[in-house]
Amino acid sequence: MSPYSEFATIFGVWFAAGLTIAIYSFLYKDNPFYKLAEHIYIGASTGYLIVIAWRDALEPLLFNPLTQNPQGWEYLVIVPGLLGIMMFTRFFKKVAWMSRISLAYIIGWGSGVAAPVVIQGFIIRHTGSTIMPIFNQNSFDLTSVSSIVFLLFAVGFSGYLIYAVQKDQYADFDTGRRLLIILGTILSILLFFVSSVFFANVTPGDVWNYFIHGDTSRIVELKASLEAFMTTFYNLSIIVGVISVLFYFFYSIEHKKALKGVAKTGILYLMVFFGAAFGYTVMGRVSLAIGRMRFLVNDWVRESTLSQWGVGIIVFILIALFLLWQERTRPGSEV
Amino acid sequence: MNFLKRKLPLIIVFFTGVIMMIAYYVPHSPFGDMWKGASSWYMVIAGFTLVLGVVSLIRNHYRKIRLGKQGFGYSIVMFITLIITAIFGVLPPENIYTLRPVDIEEENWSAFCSTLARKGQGEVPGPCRRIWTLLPKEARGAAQEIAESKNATEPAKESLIAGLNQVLGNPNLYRKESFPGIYLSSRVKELLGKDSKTLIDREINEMNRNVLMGAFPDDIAEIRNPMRGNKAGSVFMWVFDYINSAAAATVFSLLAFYIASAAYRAFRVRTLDATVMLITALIVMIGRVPYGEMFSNFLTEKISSHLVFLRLDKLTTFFLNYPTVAAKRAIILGMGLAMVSTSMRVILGIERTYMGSDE
Amino acid sequence: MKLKTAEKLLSIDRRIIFLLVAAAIILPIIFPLNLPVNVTDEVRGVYNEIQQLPPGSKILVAFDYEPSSIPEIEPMAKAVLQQCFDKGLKIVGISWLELGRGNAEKVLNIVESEYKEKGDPIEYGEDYAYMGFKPGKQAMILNLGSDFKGTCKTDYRGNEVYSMPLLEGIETLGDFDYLVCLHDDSMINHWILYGHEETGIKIGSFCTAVMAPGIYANLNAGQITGIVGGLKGGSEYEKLLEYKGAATKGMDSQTVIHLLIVVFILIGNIAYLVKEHHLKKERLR
Repeated sequence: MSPYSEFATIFGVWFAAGLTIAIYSFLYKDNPFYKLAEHIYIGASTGYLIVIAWRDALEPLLFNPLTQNPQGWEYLVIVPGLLGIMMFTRFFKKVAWMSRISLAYIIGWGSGVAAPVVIQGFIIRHTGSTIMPIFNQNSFDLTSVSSIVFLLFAVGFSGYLIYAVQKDQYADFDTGRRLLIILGTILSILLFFVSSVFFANVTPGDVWNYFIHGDTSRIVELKASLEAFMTTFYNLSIIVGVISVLFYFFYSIEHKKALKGVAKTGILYLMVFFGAAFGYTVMGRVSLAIGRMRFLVNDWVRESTLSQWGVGIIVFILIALFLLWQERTRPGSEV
Repeated sequence: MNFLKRKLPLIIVFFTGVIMMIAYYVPHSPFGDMWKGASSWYMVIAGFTLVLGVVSLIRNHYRKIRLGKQGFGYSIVMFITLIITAIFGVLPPENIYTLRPVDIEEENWSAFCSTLARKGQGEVPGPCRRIWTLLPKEARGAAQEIAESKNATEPAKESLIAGLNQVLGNPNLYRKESFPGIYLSSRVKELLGKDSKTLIDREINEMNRNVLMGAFPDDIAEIRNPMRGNKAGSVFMWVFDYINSAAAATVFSLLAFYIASAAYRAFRVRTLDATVMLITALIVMIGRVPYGEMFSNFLTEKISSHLVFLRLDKLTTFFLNYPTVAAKRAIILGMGLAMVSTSMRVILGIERTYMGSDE
Repeated sequence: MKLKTAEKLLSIDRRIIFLLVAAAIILPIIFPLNLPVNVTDEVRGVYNEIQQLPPGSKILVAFDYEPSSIPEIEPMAKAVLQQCFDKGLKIVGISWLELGRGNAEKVLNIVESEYKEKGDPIEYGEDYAYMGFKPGKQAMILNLGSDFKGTCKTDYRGNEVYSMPLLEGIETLGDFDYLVCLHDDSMINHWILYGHEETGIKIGSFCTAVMAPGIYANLNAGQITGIVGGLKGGSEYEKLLEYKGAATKGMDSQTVIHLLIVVFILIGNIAYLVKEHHLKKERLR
C-alpha cells in the first residue's frame, strides 16, 4: 500500500518513467533530455543530503544537546561543533588553514583506530585462516615410509628445478629432461599428499577391494579419506595462491627466473578472480537494468490509462520546447 | 602562525592517534571514556562532512547562473529541485493528529453524530459520554443538528471538528473506565504513562487521536502522512522514492549496456592470462543462472554421473571458494599492511599530504 | 568465416548491441520463462542461522545500500524481514549510510502494509523499530559496541530508545543474536572489523553481485556465516521461503542476458581470431 495519495502515486510513476527514459536516451547520444534528468537527480540528491545531515546528524547530536539544558560535560559537544564548522573554512583562501585542524582530528582518530583493528581483523585473522587449515588436519600421517620417501622426492625434484632455473641451466635442457623434472616434481608432490592424507586411514588394499571386488565395507573411510584429500588440496591451493599473489605485488625483488614463475602463478590466480568478478559485475549491472525495465513495463505501461498518456504527451512537448530554448547559445556567454 | 598552520595539526594527529591506539588495548578508565568520547566527537564532525560536497556543488552552479553560461537553465532546475526537497524535508512536520472534515467519510457523518449525541447525553459511561462532557457547547449543537437533520452542512462539520480538536488537545481525555477494551499501541501506552505536564501539544494530540481511533474505528480515518518532514508519505520521501531511487538505479543500469558492448568489442583472447579470465567469466556467467545449471545437469546425467565435478555450478562454486578467496585474501593482507603502515606514517607525521599545500 | 564478414561483425554499431540487450531484458518480462532456481550453500548458511533462532530473538538489520541498488537488494531485504517476522523474531534497523535511511523506511513500510493486508499486523516498537541514520561510520559501530542505546538515543521517529520495550536487554551490539547487513559497498568490512571482531556478533551478508566475489574470503575466514549475493542470491532466498518475488521473476531476464553476453563474447573472439588469421596470411605473403 502506497503511503501517498492516488494522484501523487500516479504522478510519481510518470515522473520516474520520464526520468528513466531520459537517462536511457544517453545510450543513443548525449542530449538535452538526459542533461535535464541528470540535473534533477543532482538537485534531489543534494537536497536529500542536506535534510539528512540536519535531521539525523546535526540536530540530534549537536543542536539538541546544546539547547536542551546541557549539564556539565555535555557542554563539551561544542568543541566538535566548532571543528565541524572550521571544515568549511577551506572555501576561503585566507582562513583555509583552519580546516587542517578539523582534518587532523579526523585523520588522527581514523589512523589510531584503524591500525590495531586492521591488524586483528585483517592480518592476523586472514593469515590464520590461510595457514591453520593445513596444520589442523587430523588426517595427516607423516610417519609412514611412503610419505617420507615421496616428501624427499618432492623436495629433491622441486629444489633441482629451482636451482636449474636460477642458474640458467633449464634453457639448455632437452625436452626429455625438462619433462622428467617437471613431471617428477608434480608427481612426487601429488604422491606425497596421496600417501600422507588419503592413505592416512585407509590402505591401497581397501581401494583395490572397492574398485575391483566391489567391497563396500570400508566405503565410509574411503569417502572420508577422499574428502580429507580434496580439502587438503584446496587449502594448499589457497596457500599457494595467497603467497604467489602477494609476491606478484612485491616489487622490491626483480621477478626473474624462478621468481618469475611464482609471479606468473599469482597472475593466474588474479585472472581467475577478475573473471569471477567480471561475471558477477555483469550480473549486478544487468539486475539494475532488469529492475528498471520491470518498473517501466509493469508499473508504468501496464498500469497507465489513456487519459494519463494524453497528459504525458502534452507535458513531454512542453519540456521539449523548454529544452530547445535552453540549448540556444546566448551571445557573449562562455561555452 | 606557523605553529597553528603546520605544527598544531601534526600534534593533534599524533596525540589523537596514540590515545586511540592505547585505548583499543586498554579499555579501562580513563582510556575507555576517552575512546567513547573521541568517537562521539567524530560522529558530530562526520555530520558536517556530509554537507561539504553540497557547498562546493552549490557554489559551482551558482557561478554558472550568475555568469549566464550555456546550460545555466539546467542549473536553475537543479536549484529548484534542491530547494523544494530541502525545505520540505527540514521543516518540522505539520500536526497530523488533529482532525479535518475529510477524516470522517461523508456517509458516516450522520450516524457518527447520532451515536455521539445519544450516548453522550446518556448516563452509561463510555467514550461518547466522555467526549460529550469535554465538547464545547457549539460543537454539541452542531452534532445534534447533524444527527437530527441527517445532513452534514459544512459550517456544522467545521464546528464539530473544531470542538473535537479541542478535545484532542486535552491531556486528561483518556480514562480507563471511559474507554474500556480499546486497543492501545505501545507508543500510546508510553505517552499515557508519562506525566501529562511533560507532554508537548503534538504528543497530546497523538495520544488522544489514537484513543479516538480506537474508540471509533469505523468512523475516524487513519492518521494521514505529513507533507513536511522526512517521514513516509511526505514530499521529501516522494522525491526520494520517485526521483532519487529511479534516477540512481537508471544511471547505474546504463553500465549493463556498456558492459555488453565492451564484452563484444574488447574482451579478446590475446594472452594466456586473458584466456583464463575469459573462461572463468564464461563459466561463472553461465553457471550462476538457471539455464546454466540445467544445461550442465543434463550433460552429467546423460553422459556420466562421475563427471559431476565438471558441472558449471560446481565449477563456479569451486572458483569462488578457492582461487578467488586466495587472490582476495592476498589483496586483503596487502591492503591491511598498507593501512597499518600508512596509519603509522600519518600518526608520526611522516605522511602530511592531508594538509594540502601551504599557499 | 571470410575476412569481410569478420570485419563487419567487429564494426557493428554499439547501439544495435544496446537494442539487443534491451530486448533480452524486456521480452522475458512480458513472456515469463519460470525457470527453476537451485539454492547454494552460501545462501543456506544465512538462512539456517536465522531459522535456528528461537522466537523473541533480536536481529539487527543494517540498511546500508544506496537507491541505485534497490532492484537487487530490496527483494532480499523483503525476504529476510518476512522470514524474521514469520518466526517471531524482533527487528531493530539502523543505517550508517545516509542514503540507506530512505531505503529502510520504504522497505519497512512495504512489509508493514503487506502484513496488515494479511490480517497479521506487525507493530512498531513491539515487533520492529528503526533507529535511523547515525553518522560517523566506524565511530558509530564502535560506540554501538559499547553503548547501543546511548549511541542511538532516539529512533527515526524521534522516540526515546531507553523506554522502548523492543530494546530491553540490549546494552551493546553483542547483545543482538544476529546482524543482517544489507549493503552494496564495502560496509561489510567495517561491520566485520569494528562489530564482529570487537563483540563477536554473527553477520550475514546480503550484498550486490558486484561485491559478492570479494566477500568469499571473509566467509572462508569465518567472519560471516553466509552470503546472499545479487538477484540470484535473492531468488535462492525466496525459494527457501517458498514464494516467487521480484528476484525470482528477474532471473528469467538474467538468464537470457547472460547467454546473450556469452554469445557476444564468443562471436567477438571468433571474428577477431579470423581477422588475425587472415592478416597473418597477408603478412607472410
